[in-house]
Amino acid sequence: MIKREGDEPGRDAGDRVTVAEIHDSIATMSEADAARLVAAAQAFSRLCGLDPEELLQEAMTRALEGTRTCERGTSLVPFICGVMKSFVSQENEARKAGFRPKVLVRDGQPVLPDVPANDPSPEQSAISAVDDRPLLAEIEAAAAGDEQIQLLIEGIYDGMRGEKLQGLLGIDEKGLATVRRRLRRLIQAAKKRVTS
Amino acid sequence: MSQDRTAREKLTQLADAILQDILETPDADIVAEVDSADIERVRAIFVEVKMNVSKQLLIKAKAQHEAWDASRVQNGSSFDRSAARDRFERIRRGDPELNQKLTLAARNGKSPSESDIAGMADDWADLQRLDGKEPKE
Repeated sequence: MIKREGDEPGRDAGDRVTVAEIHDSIATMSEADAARLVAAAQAFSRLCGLDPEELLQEAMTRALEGTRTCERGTSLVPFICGVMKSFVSQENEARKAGFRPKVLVRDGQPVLPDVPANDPSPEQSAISAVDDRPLLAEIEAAAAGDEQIQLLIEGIYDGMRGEKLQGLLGIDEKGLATVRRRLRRLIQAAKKRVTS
Repeated sequence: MSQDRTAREKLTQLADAILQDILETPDADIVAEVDSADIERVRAIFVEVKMNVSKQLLIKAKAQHEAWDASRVQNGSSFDRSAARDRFERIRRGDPELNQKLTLAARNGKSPSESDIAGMADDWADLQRLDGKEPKE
């Protein structure tokens, strides 16, 4: 869905939304779309440890610089959310490699590198190697008393979505939406406990 | 290591599910769920990012302009204009045939003006530079 410039050199640039169009889409986005960006930034923040504002800043920077491009037909919110989601794995990979990149824009300079900037020390690697496991353990522990959430998590881990999840939990679409929202809140609360 | 990969995959799956949930939540519900101050903050972040990206582009443009300027100086664009004119004048006066042609071409038979001479001297310097030579007599 989201392409990096240079991924497909032969591809027609007209297949992608221009930076000016992305700019206009952000400038005129609805209150609901802005709310979705906030919700996504807050949720992904829990999964990667980066500040929600930093995630939003960095995603918008990449979009406005044109270093992340968006295929025509992809809406703004999925595009920006997709960029933020990519930071979840990027940041965790970075931590695994023994460093944590800064994600701040300072003096006009976005400072999240795409590649490791420093070699990790053995100590850093040892510490970072266990970084996501406490979070997962905390999420699973928080869900321990709630069979529905536990089942939902297991289904998600197995790659199930939509109707398959509804079938697994024995609920309808609306019911699934409610349980997923509970899971989102549980994840946010879990990360707070892990980092505090 | 495989345990790490499993943890990573689980986190990725959770992130995907969260994203799907957020995208599918009805407008009114998502607006009610998020603090209105945070929604306003998104717009403020956009303005900040826009300024930062513009600033960054300006810094790059300045750097490119400076590099271009530096290369011009290196390639002879710091050419001494008055010395070039003197040299050009000497060549012109030393070659009556060339002078006749230039005069006819420039002003319908009248003597070329100062700006005509300056223009020709600049053209001559540019040709020398493009040939990779320093202007010489």
